[in-house]
Amino acid sequence: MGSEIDRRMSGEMKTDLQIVDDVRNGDRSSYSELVKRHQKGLLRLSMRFMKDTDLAQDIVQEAFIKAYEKLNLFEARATFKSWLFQIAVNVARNKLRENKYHFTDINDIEIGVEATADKGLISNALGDVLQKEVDKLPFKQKTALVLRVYEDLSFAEIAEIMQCPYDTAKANYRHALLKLKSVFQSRVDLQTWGVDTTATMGPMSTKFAEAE
Amino acid sequence: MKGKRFYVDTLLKETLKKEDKVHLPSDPMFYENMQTNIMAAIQHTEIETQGSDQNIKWSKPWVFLEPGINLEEGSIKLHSNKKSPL
Repeated sequence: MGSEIDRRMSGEMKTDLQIVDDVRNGDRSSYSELVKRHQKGLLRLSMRFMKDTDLAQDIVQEAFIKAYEKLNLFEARATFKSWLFQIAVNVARNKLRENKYHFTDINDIEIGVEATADKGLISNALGDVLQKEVDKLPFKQKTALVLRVYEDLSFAEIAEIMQCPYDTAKANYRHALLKLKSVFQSRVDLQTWGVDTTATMGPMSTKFAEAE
Repeated sequence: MKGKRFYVDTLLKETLKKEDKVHLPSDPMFYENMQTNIMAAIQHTEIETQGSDQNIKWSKPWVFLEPGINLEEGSIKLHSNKKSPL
């Protein structure tokens, strides 16, 4: 945030809000800079819902076009990125509803983990199982989880994107986490993982300290 | 108990991040093409003026309550869009 202000002061780089104003005042080509800045983040978010690069690309394109059309409705209460995310989440939800995409392959066989398997194999199998559980979550819970865990957003930002109260966003996230936790705990022997994970707990502890 | 819950939550989140299956295209051309496509679509798009939707949809919702309209059958030309079955 500080660096953004510095850049603004030195005139080095325009902020999103300044560019939005330029576009509103008729400078259509400035929108290209907003696309450049946010397309990757939007693609990453879309891929969590669509699981396919082409479909995710469609979501990104539609979200940017919708954002352009509705630019006058952007009130700058939240960041432009949050507003874009909000549009992309709505577009993705509508697409999933319309087309009833099913990404779970019924032929997928759950990978069994033997007691003698090495840690790498356990880790991979656990990752697959958790990913399947994430995909099974209801849309709102999945959205809250994705935004919190993968995008590192605060609950206030998540609430803004999901257009719901702060507590609802938090509850959706907690419900998602509870469902995953039951699977996670049944798969992992925490005692054996303790030694390896305590090293990574330091930064995580402070990061997720926000009233969870 | 609370400490253990926090520990499991953190471990779960760490595992989710570590096992992230989403891999973005690394080719810069991919993003340049996407940007070009989006901007091409934007060239044919206009920014909507505020409240334009409402003006179109709900310009006269209460036409039947306007004073001066005679409500006798057949005196006002209110037609349904539906085609007559006859």
